[in-house]
Amino acid sequence: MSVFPAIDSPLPIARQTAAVEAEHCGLLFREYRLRAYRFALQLVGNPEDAMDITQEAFLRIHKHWSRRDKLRPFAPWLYSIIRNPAVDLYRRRGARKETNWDETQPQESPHPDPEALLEKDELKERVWRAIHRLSPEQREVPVLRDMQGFAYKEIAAITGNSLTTVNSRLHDAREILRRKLGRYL
Amino acid sequence: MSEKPIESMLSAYLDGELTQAEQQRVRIHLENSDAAREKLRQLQTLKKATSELAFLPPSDDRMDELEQRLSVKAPRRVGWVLFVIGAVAGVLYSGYLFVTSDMHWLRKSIVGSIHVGLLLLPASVARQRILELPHDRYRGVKR
Repeated sequence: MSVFPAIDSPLPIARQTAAVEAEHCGLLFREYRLRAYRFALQLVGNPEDAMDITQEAFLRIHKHWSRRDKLRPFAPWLYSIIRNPAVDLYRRRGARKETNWDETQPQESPHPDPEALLEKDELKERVWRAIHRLSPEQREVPVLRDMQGFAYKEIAAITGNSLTTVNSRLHDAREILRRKLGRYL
Repeated sequence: MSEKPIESMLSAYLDGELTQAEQQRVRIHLENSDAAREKLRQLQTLKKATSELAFLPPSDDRMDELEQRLSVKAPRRVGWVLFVIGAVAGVLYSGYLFVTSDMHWLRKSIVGSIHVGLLLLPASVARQRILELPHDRYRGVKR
């Protein structure tokens, strides 16, 4: 049985003591910290900013923990808390600060086909750079859909947009990427 | 209701987010259009490449450091809130006692000036925080 059986569902009322709440908050941090960091990194493209945003997100969660909507699943709440400052930060900074692809990448293990690996890596790097040239609103949708695997309905809940907006932003973002990367696809 | 252009439905088709009727329309269109099939293939490759982007996770040390920072910072916030509430209540109560006391007016003025001066210092810090609030990047975060 999972350690977090009720992670996305409300805790039983009898367990709503401060100590249990604090413990639950701590467990959620350990469970979600990597996912939170990865999402922030995917949005802002910079490990240092991603770490700052992750820290602030969990501080905010801790601050509002007792007053949270207990019927709301935790993951979309966490993602929406990370998403707002990340989008805002990127919007204020603009695309001027180039994302360092190498800084974000794990070391590849030896591959049997170096040429294929090179081609694949080149495409991935181009995709990453192209995604980071999208507007923050356009970028977050493919990140949430293709990197995080959320359904349109969940993306709408996280971003606070309608299903139609999510659909159209994802279409627009992919269309821009497809046109930019056409000859590599 | 107007129907969506077929080409704009390819992205949602790829994600399995269309209704059955819409899926059927797209399938028929794909059967009859080489360009649409090529576009769908490109979108599939793009989606795959995007989903396969791997990211270097931070070291365990960085994550532990983050947890430590949180464990220090979180109670500090609570401490500040309690301190401010207590300080405001204390100041109000002291002010009431001071005003209603039968102290000589000259002595009252001297003691009052010192205390008002001391109160202005944290008030200036609070004012600075309020002025900085519009630039706080986390201000708009929904709970």
